Amino acid sequence: MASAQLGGQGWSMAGRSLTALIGGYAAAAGLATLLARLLPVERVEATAWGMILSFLFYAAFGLWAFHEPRLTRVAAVIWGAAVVAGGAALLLGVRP
Amino acid sequence: MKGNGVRQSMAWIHGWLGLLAGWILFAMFVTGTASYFRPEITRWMQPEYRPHAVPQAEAARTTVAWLQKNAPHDEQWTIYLPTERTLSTRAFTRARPNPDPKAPRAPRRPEVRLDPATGAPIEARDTRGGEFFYRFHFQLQLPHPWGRWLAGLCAMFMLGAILSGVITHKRIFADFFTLRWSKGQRSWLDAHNVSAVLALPYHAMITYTGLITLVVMYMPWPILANYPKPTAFAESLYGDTAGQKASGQPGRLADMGRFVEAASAEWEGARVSRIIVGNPDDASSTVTLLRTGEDRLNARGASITYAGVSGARLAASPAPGPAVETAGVMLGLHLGWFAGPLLRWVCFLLGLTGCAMVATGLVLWTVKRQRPGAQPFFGMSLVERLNIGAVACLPAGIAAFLLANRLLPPMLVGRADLEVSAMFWAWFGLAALSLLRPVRRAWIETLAISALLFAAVPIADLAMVGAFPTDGLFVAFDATMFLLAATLGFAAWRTAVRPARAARPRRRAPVTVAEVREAVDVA
Amino acid sequence: MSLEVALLGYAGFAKLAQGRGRHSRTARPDRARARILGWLLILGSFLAALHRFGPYLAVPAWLALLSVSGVILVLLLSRWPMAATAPWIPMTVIALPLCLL
Repeated sequence: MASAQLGGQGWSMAGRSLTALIGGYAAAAGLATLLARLLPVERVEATAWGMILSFLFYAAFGLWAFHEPRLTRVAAVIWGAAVVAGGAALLLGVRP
Repeated sequence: MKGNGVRQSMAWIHGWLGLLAGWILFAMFVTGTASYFRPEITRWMQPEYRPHAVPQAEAARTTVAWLQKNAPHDEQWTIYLPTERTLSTRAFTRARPNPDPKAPRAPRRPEVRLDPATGAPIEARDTRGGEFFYRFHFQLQLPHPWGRWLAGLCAMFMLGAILSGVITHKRIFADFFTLRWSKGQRSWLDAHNVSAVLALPYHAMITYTGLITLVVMYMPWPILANYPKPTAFAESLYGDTAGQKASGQPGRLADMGRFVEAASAEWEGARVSRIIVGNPDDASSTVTLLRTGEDRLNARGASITYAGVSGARLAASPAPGPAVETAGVMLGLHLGWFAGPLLRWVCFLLGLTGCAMVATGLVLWTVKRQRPGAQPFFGMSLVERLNIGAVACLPAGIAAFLLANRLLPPMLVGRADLEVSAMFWAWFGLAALSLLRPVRRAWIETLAISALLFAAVPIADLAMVGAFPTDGLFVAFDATMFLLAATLGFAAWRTAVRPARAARPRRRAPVTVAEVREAVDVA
Repeated sequence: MSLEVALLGYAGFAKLAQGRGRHSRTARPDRARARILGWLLILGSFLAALHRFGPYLAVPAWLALLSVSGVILVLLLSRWPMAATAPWIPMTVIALPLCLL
């Protein structure tokens, strides 16, 4: 089973699942928010694009989390993306 | 099994996403498919009601007259005008919030259905009607907001399952037409592939657009990044409609019919789908009319807001840009309002195909892990039992809901809630009883009971309503019930005649290496 | 009624099914011809959808009708392999005038 490839049972699987589920959501939300904030189109349009694409981001992060065997890399990329994208969006502040 | 190829990992995740969300997804697919005929189901469940078609302006007038008598001081009225399929006016009211902050929030009032000709509540048995399936579909009968969150999570799992399923499927075109019966695991895999791949555009569309329908709840963060006041986003979409606050001075609404005619004229004759009246008894009342979404893909029709008392045109929704139009089209694709009669039936059949996809997937999970003669491990038993409860017993619950509608006395108080109770008692009760039977017998018996209950619905219809149905809607509904009963009965029969695993004769030819690899491929 | 879109879709899938490689008794050039005709019929079904629904609605309507005819074909094909593909000629013939209705 591919699960054996994914580095053992128990805590490792729980960590991976949590990263995919919650980290993936945070990363997708962060990316979608950053996109909405930065897209050089009308405010309502940029917001809508960010929201529309967010689920695709979430699915991509979630699936990749279970494809990449190294849990450390998964955690770093996904939580990292969440922090970086979300942080950037926060630092940029609300669109003037 | 070698390597960590993307096919293997996607196969693994596909199995888990499908399994964990499958039981709820099946219920969402079933109730969602039923919701394509939401108004028709409501009409079937209120057979006494003889609709009279009236012009929209007249329907609006009579509704407002009734609301002014029965909910004059409410904060907001929402009126869904009758359409060709919904022949009654639906009205919701939202009471003014209690100024006392410690007072508990008033419960949300159910909709009231009014006769468009008279404005009086329609004289028919009290029932939730098709609205029950619609609400269950995305709220799962759980308190707000948990139901919507859970439904959204399952939809996300579905999206992951679709993407991983496509990535992992090796010969997606070679297997396009392959459906072999009576070959055990093979057959289940074929059935799952056929129901999934042949309607893949539909499944992918319905899943993604389903998420979009509640995107403001699931993903509000982009709004917060772009709008200092989040309500401004809704204003950008719909025009500034909510802004008006009550002035405190009393005021009388102008003739509602004139508002309907004015809006319809501005939209070159298009119908009005909804009217939202803010602060109806106030001098600064507003009347917002929304255009129908039934003649186009974009379900979010334009809106115009007038001052309630003076009739002055206050605002209109701006023309949507490409992103907003895309969201509206996605909403329209999911709701399927644009579909004429044939397309609507087609969507219904595709929805049933989706139900088949989920069900065959769930069964495939257990069939793949069956070891003949060995004691099933706990997880296996759990999944088997949940499969029976979710797939075979839910239809019994739905049939019980419809049966209760015909069998409960029309004048009984609280019958609408009793119908819903009947659904859950039948569904969970049958599932509980099925635990007493061995797995294979449980499948056969629950499917058979579901079939019988569905067959009983048209019989109860004929018996209780008295006359043979002449209205095409009732004929079509009852015929569909018989067809569903036949399908469930066929499933029960096939399960019964299939030789039990232990008695299966030995295979004639040795299993080839290729077959083993293929069977394990989607492990 | 947009039945012609589904009829042409069914006919197209029927020819594509006949044109399959494995487990087929038909000769290779026959199979190639069946596949070409199948794709042409599918294209025809799309054009019929464009004509019936206009450019805006055509794609979703066509995909929906195509999927349903595909599901019905596969169900019939699994039980009656020869009879399920046979009606492609009458279906095509009936579909053409329906386009004009």
